[in-house]
Amino acid sequence: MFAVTESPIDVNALLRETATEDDGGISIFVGAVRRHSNGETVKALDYEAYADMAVQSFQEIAEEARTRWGVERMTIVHRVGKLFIGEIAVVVVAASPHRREAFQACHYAIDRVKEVSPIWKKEFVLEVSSV
Amino acid sequence: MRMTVKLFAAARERTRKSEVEFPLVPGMTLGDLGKALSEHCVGFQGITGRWAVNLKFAKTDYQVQAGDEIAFIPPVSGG
Repeated sequence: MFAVTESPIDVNALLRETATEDDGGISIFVGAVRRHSNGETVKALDYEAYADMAVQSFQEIAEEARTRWGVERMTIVHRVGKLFIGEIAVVVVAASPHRREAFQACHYAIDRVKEVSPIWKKEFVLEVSSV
Repeated sequence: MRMTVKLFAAARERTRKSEVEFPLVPGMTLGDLGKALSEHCVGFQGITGRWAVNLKFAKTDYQVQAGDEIAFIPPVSGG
């Protein structure tokens, strides 16, 4: 499954939807928003995507992984909009009979998403003031 | 015939437009389009990025066809 979504990502649902009874190794990468604060201000991230092209890029990346490692079942989902610390921005799932290929495909896919998918993040700042 | 160019991220922020319309000139390349945008679209000058046509990256010597979906893709930072 390949998607760009504005909704919170349900990792368990993606795991259930991706893996089949043939899969002994399922590798999941979760990209989360980490703290970027510097004292008084807490930064969060605003993600933007060219959704149609991003989804197509996810399909192409999964096809590249299938060609290299024979992994047939992958999911890539990226969230857009304003995300706060701890929220999940992206999930990659790779399911395969054995773990070696699942690890490799998952690692490859997230690296490629970061390299080619038309998605951008921008920091935004929440001022924290004491009253 | 006019075509629409989608703008994203820094290109969208600096021009304050998510789309611009342009007349399609026969034989026009993406490079020509970039020059035209730099001349006529305030804020577009000096923005780095790549072109995408019909959801795939394209080179600046690509000749634009009627019906192409064109987008300007600044350096990506997703994932």
